[in-house]
Amino acid sequence: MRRLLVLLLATSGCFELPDEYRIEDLRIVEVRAEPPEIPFFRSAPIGGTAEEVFASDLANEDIRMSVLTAHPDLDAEFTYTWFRCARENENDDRVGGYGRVPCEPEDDEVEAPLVADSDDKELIFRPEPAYEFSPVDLLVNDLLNSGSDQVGFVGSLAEDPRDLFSGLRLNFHVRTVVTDAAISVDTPSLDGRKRVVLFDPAIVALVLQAARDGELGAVPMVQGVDIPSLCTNVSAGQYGTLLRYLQTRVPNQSPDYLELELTREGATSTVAYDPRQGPIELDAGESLLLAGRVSDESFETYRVIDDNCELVELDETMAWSWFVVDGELSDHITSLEAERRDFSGHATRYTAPTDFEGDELRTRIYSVLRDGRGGSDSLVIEVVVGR
Amino acid sequence: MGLTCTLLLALVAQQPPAQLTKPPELVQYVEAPYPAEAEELGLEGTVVLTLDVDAEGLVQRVELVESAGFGFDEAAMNAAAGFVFSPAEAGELGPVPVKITYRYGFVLQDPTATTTATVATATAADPVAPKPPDPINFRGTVLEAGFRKPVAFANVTVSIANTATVTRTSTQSDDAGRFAFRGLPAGQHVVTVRAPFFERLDTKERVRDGEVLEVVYFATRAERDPYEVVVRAKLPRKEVSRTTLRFEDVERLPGTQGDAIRVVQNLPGVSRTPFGVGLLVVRGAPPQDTGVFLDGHRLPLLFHFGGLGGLTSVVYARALEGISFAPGGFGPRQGRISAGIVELDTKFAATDRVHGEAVVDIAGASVFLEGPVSSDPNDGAFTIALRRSYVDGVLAGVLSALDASATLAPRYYDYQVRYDRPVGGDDKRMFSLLAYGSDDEILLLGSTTQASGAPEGTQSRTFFHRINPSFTYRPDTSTWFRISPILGYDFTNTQTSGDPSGNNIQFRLSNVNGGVRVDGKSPLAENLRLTAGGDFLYFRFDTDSTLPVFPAIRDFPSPLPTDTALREDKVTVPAVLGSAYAELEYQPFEALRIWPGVRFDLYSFDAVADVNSAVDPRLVEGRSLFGFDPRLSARYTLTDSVSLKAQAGLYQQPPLPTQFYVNADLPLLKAQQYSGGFEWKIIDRLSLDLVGFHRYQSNVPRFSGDTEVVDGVVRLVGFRPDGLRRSYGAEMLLKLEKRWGLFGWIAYTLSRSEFRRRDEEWGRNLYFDQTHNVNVVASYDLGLNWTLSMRFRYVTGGGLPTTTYRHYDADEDQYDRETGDLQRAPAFHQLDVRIDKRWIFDSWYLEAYLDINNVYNRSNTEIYVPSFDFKEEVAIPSLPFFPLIGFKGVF
Repeated sequence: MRRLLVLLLATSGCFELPDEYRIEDLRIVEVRAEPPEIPFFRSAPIGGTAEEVFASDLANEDIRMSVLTAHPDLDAEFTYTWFRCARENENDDRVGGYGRVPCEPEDDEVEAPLVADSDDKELIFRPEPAYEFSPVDLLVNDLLNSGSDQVGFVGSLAEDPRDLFSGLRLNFHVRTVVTDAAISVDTPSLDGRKRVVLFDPAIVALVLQAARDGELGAVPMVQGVDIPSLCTNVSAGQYGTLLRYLQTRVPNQSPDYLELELTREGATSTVAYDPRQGPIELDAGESLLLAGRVSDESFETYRVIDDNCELVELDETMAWSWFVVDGELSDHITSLEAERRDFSGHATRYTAPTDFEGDELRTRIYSVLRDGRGGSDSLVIEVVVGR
Repeated sequence: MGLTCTLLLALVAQQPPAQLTKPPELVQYVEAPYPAEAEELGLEGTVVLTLDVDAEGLVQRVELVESAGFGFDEAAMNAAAGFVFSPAEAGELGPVPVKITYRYGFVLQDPTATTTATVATATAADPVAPKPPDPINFRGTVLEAGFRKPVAFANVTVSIANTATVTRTSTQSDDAGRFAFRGLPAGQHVVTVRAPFFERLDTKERVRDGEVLEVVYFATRAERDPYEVVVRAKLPRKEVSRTTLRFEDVERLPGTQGDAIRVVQNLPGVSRTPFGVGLLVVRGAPPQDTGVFLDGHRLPLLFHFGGLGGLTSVVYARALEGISFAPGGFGPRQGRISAGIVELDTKFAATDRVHGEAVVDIAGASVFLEGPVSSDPNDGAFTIALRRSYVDGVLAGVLSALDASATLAPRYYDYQVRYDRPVGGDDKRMFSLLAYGSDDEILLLGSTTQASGAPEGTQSRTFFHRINPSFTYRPDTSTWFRISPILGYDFTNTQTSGDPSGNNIQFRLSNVNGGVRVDGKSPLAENLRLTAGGDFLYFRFDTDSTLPVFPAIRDFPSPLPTDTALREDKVTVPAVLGSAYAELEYQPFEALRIWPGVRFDLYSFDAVADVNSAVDPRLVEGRSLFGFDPRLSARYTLTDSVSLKAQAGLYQQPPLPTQFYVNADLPLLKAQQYSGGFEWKIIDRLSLDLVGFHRYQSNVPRFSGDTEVVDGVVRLVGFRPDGLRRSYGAEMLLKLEKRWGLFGWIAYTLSRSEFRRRDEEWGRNLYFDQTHNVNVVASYDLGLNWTLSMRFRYVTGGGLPTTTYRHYDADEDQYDRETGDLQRAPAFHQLDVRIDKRWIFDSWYLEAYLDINNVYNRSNTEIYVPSFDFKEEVAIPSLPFFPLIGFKGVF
């Protein structure tokens, strides 16, 4: 109701809100994690005991985090600092941290570097917008420093009890700072937050077994939540089904942004944007339909364990977020469901600006694709608008 | 020489709880000698006096209000000191002392008068020896033009023109405005009607032999009587802070749009709400903590659209006897609320004739009628009020003109019907039947959303109906008993189509309710009275909803809305509410009165629901809650003009149904209220009321997004009773009753309202925390039936969120923020002005008003909407300069 009233007031011209798609300040438009989901163990026995599981080899490969930053000045320069929120207190249960920003100083949480065995508190500073590290190394290091048992440590990472069945979410952060720009902005420094999903089938099986056995002490506890009763009524048949699912589960993959389809105003055919052929050339005020295309493999079908310990099959829905430095967009967000592969049906209309200095304006469009499970891809479109 | 006096009694308002049920009547009149000096100079005059009449009807004090000079004042004051009245009565309080205004008029009689036939009163006896009675052949009635009220003591003179001389004969009208002449000769005569404060009326009448001429004269009031509201019953007030308003006093105040109930929002202790919506925020507490009662029963809502529609209350103000508001510290008669109380009392219908009015303005039209059923008083009298809005049509035009892509179409109607009749042929037993209700419907339609392809919109309808018979028995003036059954039906249905997920959700709630309330009062000893009673209410809530279920899967954050499943849910909640209260009024000595009281409340809830219903399974098992509220108030009369007062008490209220559905473990919300202060009658009709208060609320349900597992099902905790609120400050009311043609008040509230969780420190302000809240309200009679009114408000700003940290969530493609304490927005101040003009015709009058909102076009900010990145708060301004015109016809 409140949203509709605000809409009513806004459309009546009572006030004007800034457009979300317009780049008028320092913006982070994407933080990508590749891969978006990681296991804890390389190949732990699903259905094994805790001792067997935690004796398995760790899957401590690096992930690559990258950030896409936008600024009204297309040539602005930035620096990037990668960090997480961790706790200094080694006896704290929530040693892994990976909480939300801002890290609360009064809770002894601090911004911590993404280096596993670093004792100093220097954050990871990078002039380039990408950084590679091993989250599992971080977790193990934190586990060793915590003094907690392994299961309790895993439980401390859960924001919600359901995460224990659908994947833990580790929060990582990047701070972007403008170092050089011809246009001054309100926000010279901005933090971005990105989740990396930690889903280990063997650990999920451990949690399921503990809940089923009613072993209260062995099951991770989260404050305010009575975890053991969540999956306590699982039958033997259902438990077997869940184990088979865990054994065959495929981790989430990032979507693949194949190309961008462009349809000029009045044209009946579309063309694909090819950055190698230079920027798109438009006349002032000219409109262009923009539609992203992804590979068929990007539409993943996946299963999750719901609150009743039932397996639910779902399809990914692709969502595009669109941003422009100059000009206007009809839609900030467009989306496409798996069963409707009509890419032109989710287009956004870009209208080139008419009010600019000089004979030509160099501008930029950002298109960010998300699969709704943490995977993302993006495209930056260079545009030149002439009179 | 003759003498004319005018007695104007207007029954009052200023200080009930009780109203005068019987005005004082003059039973022994003392005629003043005509001052020789004035008689020699041929002067006439009127002296205005105030008389303090004690409970036995004797005049204890005479005060000169308006002098006439030339010896009139002394003569009138000496004579009035010897008057004897029948005692005034105020309901259950019996005979009470009153202060009245009395106009003592001196009119020179024509020495040539040959006949004076008086049918008016014994007090205006003709000094000339009466002739043998002739038959009456000319009679009539003098009524006030426009209002048709009788004009008593009007001097009616007939000038009989013979060939050589003019003979005059005079008489006076009686209380009913009637007059008569006997034995007038046939022919055309000049008739002159004169009465104080009325324009002289000259006309010609033809008298024929053997016929009786009957006439009605409409006398036009020459000036508005500045003393219309003058009788102040010195009734003991119980509450430390209670303000009572009469419809006549406040109907013309600006910003009310003729709805006197909205004036409550301009009293001390009431916070200003955005856009002037009709929410009653009392001492910073949310609106649900304040109860509104109509004839003792809880009113489901006070304003149409729950106050969000803003403009109009659900009860037509003209159908009310009075509006009484206490921001706290009320007695045990009412409960189940923890902040303030608004009590509305419907009025007895007029029994003299049929009265009515019709009102038309930009928002809607209304009709009001009242009067006797027949000429036999035992047949009773009725009141009918009907109102229907056409805001939907007006808004459609406005939005169309603005080319808005959204549609807003609200409409409402309400009605009140009351019937009263005496039972058993006396005034001791009275039967009343009250029926009332309201029906609101709103359509709010936005633009088409891409996700659903359907227009995003909400359609909502809410109505309620009540039938409330009552029987009142008053065996004597100090004892009464009332039984008041009630039967009602409430309904609300809200449908939203095309929500962000493309779902159509619906919530339908119906509530059949019934019960009975009993109240009584009786003296136990000379200085001890008992008031006691209680109620028993049954509710059956039926909900039929299609709402998103608590997600069985915790979605990963995404730019797209969560694809929530819907579940149809039917829940029936029977509830029984019972209460009993008792309050003593003890007067250990003349200056001190103490009211100790206690109240018991019982709540019993049950639920019938599906296994997987959204309702808390613990509610299905059944819950009972008990409340015990001791309350005490006291008043000490320090001097004739100064009284001290204090109060302490416990006030408990149940959780809201929506809160209780989700968490049936919630306890009663508790409020401790303390207040104290004084009243000072500065001069006649000018008083100052100053009160300090402190309220502490605990067990306040606070929303929590935490989850818990109940019977193997993950569900939201919803609400935790760990909230605390406190509010403290001072309230001042400087009020001028009608004097010098001026009426108004200055209300000032200095307060602080805070909340916290149990594990936090105080420091966070409530949204409606307003340090300074000033309301200056005034109405002035300009003469010639013009009235100028104004309202000025100054309120400390608040409710502006502060962002302490913001960041971009790359998974949701949204910004998140951490917020700090609300900070002060710029102060609100605004002047509203209203001009009323009456055109008075013989049997009715037409009134037009121009209500100008925001005269100096101050750009106040009502609410703030954050930008998508929380970098700025976009201010949504209040209404700019905006004139509103309305018309009212009254007969």
